[in-house]
Order: sequence, then C-alpha cells, then structure tokens
Amino acid sequence: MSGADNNDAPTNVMPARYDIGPGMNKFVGEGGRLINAKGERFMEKYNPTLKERAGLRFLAFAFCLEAQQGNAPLFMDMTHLTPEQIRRLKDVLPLAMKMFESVGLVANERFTQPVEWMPMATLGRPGLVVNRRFEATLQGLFACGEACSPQAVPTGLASAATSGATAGKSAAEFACSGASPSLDEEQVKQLREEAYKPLQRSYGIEPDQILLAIQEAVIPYNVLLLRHGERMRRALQAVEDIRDNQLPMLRAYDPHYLRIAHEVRNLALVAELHLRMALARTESRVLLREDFPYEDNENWLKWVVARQDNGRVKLITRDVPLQSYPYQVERTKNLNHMWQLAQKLGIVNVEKGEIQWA
Amino acid sequence: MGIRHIDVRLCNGCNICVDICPLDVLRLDGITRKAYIAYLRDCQSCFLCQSECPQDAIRCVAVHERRMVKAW
Repeated sequence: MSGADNNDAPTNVMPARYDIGPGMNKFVGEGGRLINAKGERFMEKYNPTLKERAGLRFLAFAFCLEAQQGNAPLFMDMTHLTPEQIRRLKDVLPLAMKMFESVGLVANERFTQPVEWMPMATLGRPGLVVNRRFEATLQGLFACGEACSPQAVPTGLASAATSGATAGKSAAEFACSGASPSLDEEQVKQLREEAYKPLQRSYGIEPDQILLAIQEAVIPYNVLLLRHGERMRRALQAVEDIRDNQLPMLRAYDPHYLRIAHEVRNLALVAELHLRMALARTESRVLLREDFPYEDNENWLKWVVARQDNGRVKLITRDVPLQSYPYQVERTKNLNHMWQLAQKLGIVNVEKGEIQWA
Repeated sequence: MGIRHIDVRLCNGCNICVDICPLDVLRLDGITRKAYIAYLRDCQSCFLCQSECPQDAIRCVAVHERRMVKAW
C-alpha cells in the first residue's frame, strides 16, 4: 500500500448472481429495459430522455432510490427481444449468454423471464496513485488495470490492455536501469514466515468465512453507493473486527487455499480503505451521502489519499490541480444534482442539511 | 455448482482447461492424464473451460456453490 487514491470512483450495475461485468451497454443497446419489482420501467421517471442509456452512476443512483422506496429487486427485461437480437447477443457476449442459457433464462432464442440486476459498489474501488508511466509512489512498483486509481484507469478491458502495455514497458525499463537489488535476508525470512503462516495452522478460520463477512459488510447498496456516516462506520467496525480478530486466525489447507487466504486479506484492506476514504469525504459528488448532500466545491475539490503509517491507514488530501485545467470551476456549494432530482420527484426532502426520505 | 462435469472419455489431457481457469479450480491427474474438478467451491461459472475445451468435454451451470451476497 504505497498511496491509494480516492473514493470518487465509477460504479456499475450488472446481473445479480452472475459474474458478468461487461455487457451492460450491449443489453441496453438491443433494447433491454430496467424494471422494478412492480414491473415499472423506472428509468422513464429518473431520466425520460436517456432512460437505460443514462450513465452508470446515474443508473446506480436510480437503483438505490428504487430500493429505498421498497421497489427492489430490480430486473433487466429482455423478454421482448427477437431471436435475431438474441443471436447478435450470443455473438458479442458469448459467455454471458451461455450463463443465461445454462439456468434457463434464455431458451429457444428468447429470454424466458427478466434477469435480476443489481448495483455494485465493489467496482467503485480505490487504487494506486500512478504517473503516466503507471509507476506508483513507491519506487519500483508499477500498476495497471483496476489496480490503479480510477483517475488513471476508470474501468474496462481497453484501458486494462493499454495501461498493462505501458506499465510492463516501464517496469522493464526500471529493471534494466539500476543495479541488482540487495536483499535483506532477515526481512525475506520474516515475510516468508508471514506468507506461509495460514498453511502451518492445524486449526483456524477458512478464507470463505472471511470473504462472506467482508461481502456482507460492504455489498448492501446503502453502504457504499447510498452513503451515510453512521452506516459506513458500522461497516468499518465489522471490517476492523475481521482485520483484528479473524485474519490472524486464517487457515489454509494447501497452496490453493493459501492464495485465497492472501486474497481475502487484500480484500479486507481494500474494504477498509474504501470505507475510510468514503467517510472522509463529507460531501456528495460522484457517490451520494444522506448526511452531506451538498456538492462542495468550496472545500472538496481534492482527492483523498490513503497511505501506510506504521501498519495502519493514514488519510491525507491532495488538491486537484485546477490551475492546469482549461476551464475553471465555480467555488460554490450546491445540493448535488442527483439529490435535486430526487427532491423534485418528491422522494426526499432536505432538512437541517441532511436528506430525509419522504 | 459452476463447473459440473468433465467427461473423462472425451478428455485428452491437453491441460487447456487447467491453464485457462482463472481461479485454479481444475487439475490434471498425474497418472490418468485426465482433468478433474479439484476446488468446486471456487468456480465462478465463467464458462472459459467449457468454451475452450477442444473435446467439448466440460459442462458448466451458472449457479454458484458459494452464497452470493446481494445488494438488497
């Protein structure tokens, strides 16, 4: 952890229960309609012009509003698509369509029922601060894809490929440029012992248990997508409990589980970073807070940066270099435009500087 | 669930499925040279093994063995 950047991150919506990230645009492009549990095409209300073609963060916000009004679960309805459109989807998104076919959601070149869809906060992730060579602030560390902060790599395969190519070249140049590193044998020994510890325990906690606990803490829509300080603090307490009481008990049966044990350790750290940075940002910008509903250009034209400090997370802020931007931003503080929309639709009121649900 | 079946009569031991699995679910038996499902719980139902198997020996179902936490 050399300096992970901010919480102004992209969000996503995707089919629930299926690990399908890419494909949203294609499903919508073919005419997929988002409907709520009552069968209403809810995007007509939130964005009458673009409807499902609205931006992802706008869609994620609409999902949250619908859930908050008791209209979840939400679905992508594609039952009206023609066999020709289904064939086109199969050409472009073969794996996703195979998944749907395997559970009977697609049969005889038709969707048999609407597919449950949900917003994902897990993609709104922090990431390493990198320069244009994709070099992190720790010398010799390079990052690409979604390991970078969203400013460097928003999301998607294209930017993963281009950032990967550049990072790889930069790392190779770095490796060729200096003298061979000198190893601290004592440190190597300590790191090795730490890495293999879960394998040596004869009893302990399975990585699966910790993975589930992390997901239960951060995946609900009203933790990191629709934010409130109180809820995020509760989630942070759960993650800190995992960090302090469960991670030290991690057990791995073999090298396969050892890899998963290290993954859940990393996930717990990312969840902690995500929550701490989200709590630090006391405004509503890309993602919305009920307790701070204003977009605050007086105080918050800055990034939140996390750094390691004696094994714990330390947060600092860094100003966005607005002086180098061709257009200047007005230093004002207004109710975030998405909260304005919710207010106009009679879903929320603003009282004493906080959101109240109507 | 996820990956549900590898037909050992069709498997030719090419190792493609083992190499391509992003979650280290599959192994090749050192003696029989046939692929087998070693870590079912970790399958994410990505269908890559089924799609890439040159013998069409693998069948997957998009239902996870692990409980998936939902947003609501």
